[in-house]
Amino acid sequence: MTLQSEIRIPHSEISRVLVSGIGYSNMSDLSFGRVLYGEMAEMGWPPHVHVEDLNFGPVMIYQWLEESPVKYDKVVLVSAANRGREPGTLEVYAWDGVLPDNAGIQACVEEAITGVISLENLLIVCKHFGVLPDDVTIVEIEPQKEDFGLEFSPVVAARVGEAIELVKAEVMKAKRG
Amino acid sequence: MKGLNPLSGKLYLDGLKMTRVPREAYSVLFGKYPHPQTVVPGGMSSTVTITDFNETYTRLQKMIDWTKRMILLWDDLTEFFYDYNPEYKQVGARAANMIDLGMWDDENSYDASYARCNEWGEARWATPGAVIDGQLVTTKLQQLNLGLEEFVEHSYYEDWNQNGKQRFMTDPSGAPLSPNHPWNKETLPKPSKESWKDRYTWDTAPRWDRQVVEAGAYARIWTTAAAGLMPKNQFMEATGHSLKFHMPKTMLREMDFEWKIPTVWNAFERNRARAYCMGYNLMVAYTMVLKAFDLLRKGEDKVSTKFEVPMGERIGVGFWGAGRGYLSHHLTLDKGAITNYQIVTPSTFNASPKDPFGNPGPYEEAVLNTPILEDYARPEDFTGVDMLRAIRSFDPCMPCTTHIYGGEREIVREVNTCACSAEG
Repeated sequence: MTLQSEIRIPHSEISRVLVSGIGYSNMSDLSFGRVLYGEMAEMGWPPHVHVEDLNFGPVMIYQWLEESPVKYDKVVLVSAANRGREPGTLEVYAWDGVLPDNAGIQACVEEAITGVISLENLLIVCKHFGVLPDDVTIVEIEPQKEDFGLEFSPVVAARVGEAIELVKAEVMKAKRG
Repeated sequence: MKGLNPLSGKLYLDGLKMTRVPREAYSVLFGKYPHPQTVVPGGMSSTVTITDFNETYTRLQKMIDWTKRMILLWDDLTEFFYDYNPEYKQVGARAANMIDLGMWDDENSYDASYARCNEWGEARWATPGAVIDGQLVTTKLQQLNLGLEEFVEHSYYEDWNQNGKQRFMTDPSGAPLSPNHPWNKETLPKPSKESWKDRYTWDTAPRWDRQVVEAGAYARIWTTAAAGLMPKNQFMEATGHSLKFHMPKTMLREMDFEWKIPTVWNAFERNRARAYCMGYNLMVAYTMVLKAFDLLRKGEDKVSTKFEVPMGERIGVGFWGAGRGYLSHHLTLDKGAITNYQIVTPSTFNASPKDPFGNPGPYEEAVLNTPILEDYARPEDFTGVDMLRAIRSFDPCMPCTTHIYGGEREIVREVNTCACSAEG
């Protein structure tokens, strides 16, 4: 795939940023990343930003990134994770890039091949195969409702706009000079 | 053996890379993988060109090279295990009872009619069939359809027959239809507490002729080999007891293979047959691409036929195969809308629970028949690899969804979707 940003923007002037949201569809608050991906894909972004659906399987995604003519300098991913925080808590953090042992990585590959969609899985598989940049930023919400459902709980729905603003701020940080 | 080591073995890494090639070939013709975008009722929505087929052909050659290696590898691996300990022949063993609907229609025979399904079914490049105790008992799609029943006595569903009304008494040809046939089925979820004596799964128990049958790519090669009905062609031959195929020179030299119907049926033979089935499938694809080149040369590039959604009430069935084997879709339509849609997949058969007659499903039976050959000194070292091999041999989708329960060592992962294939 040749991206518009690849054609227009000389690499020396600007960092390339890949943005996505990760999660299953129709799983209430756990679909936060998936739903926000859809919204972000419809938005206008600076030329150095590429918004892509990365919910089609981590092995396929690592192969897609490996083949891509664009090498990204930064990845920003939106997701939801239950970490015992107050529901609706929104956090931005840099992924530490620490991988599990080989058995743990292989477990991720097995799950990836058979269809598991999870942020952790995506990061581990892509990092192991060397296609992630060092700068990986996660915008993460604490879910309240985690079972089947088409809508967010009110505390999560209230943070959608803020989460997108956080993504915008992260991609602007990547602009050089 | 180091070649298969996860993350570092050459065969492992090559295999991982090779998963991309068939997806690319698929995407050339179908837009994306999984879940094709160009397949519509009546044909395909895309325009095909010589470039599309050239791109497909190039990828087929890579896949043929890979498959030559894989067939040799799986032969080698299987014989290695048998030589090391003949008891491995019992891992995943069960009677050779299997079912397949065939696939890849002959364009001169197929007319999409139920009335002629036996004829066009037998003209397929993969022959439909049911195998019971190793013997092919039918190749007729109508018999395969009529013999299908689904039971829910051990599943989290209500029995749809409780109201006593059977929607369809016969198939469109007037042949009697079971009240448990998918055309008569209604999905009535009944979540309840897990009980191994009562209800313990969301899977149903499909049976054919009240027999416990399994489904897989290996069933496709078995029914085709045994039937001997494959169209005449330059690369393949079904002999009645084997399937021979010639793989042309690609990067590797040309090679001849012969998959012989095995005398034992177990985890290793499922895997071996699956490897051979890759070769067989590829040679069908190769034959079709050559045919497509020929048609394009003659200016024949039509990819669809006129199709109108019928408005009256009617029933229909899709007889096909997924990568994992048998796949049937049973629908009822009324006023141009779908009023009932039932799907029976390979996993519906393979993972099925006990039926009302007390017969365990294929996974259950295969695990019950599996000896524990694993060496372990302490209970906490037990991995259950023999049982895992048994279950995973049925289905390449199973690696992540098969886990061993060991009390506090339970490993659980909830899987909400399967993105591994375009099977639907």
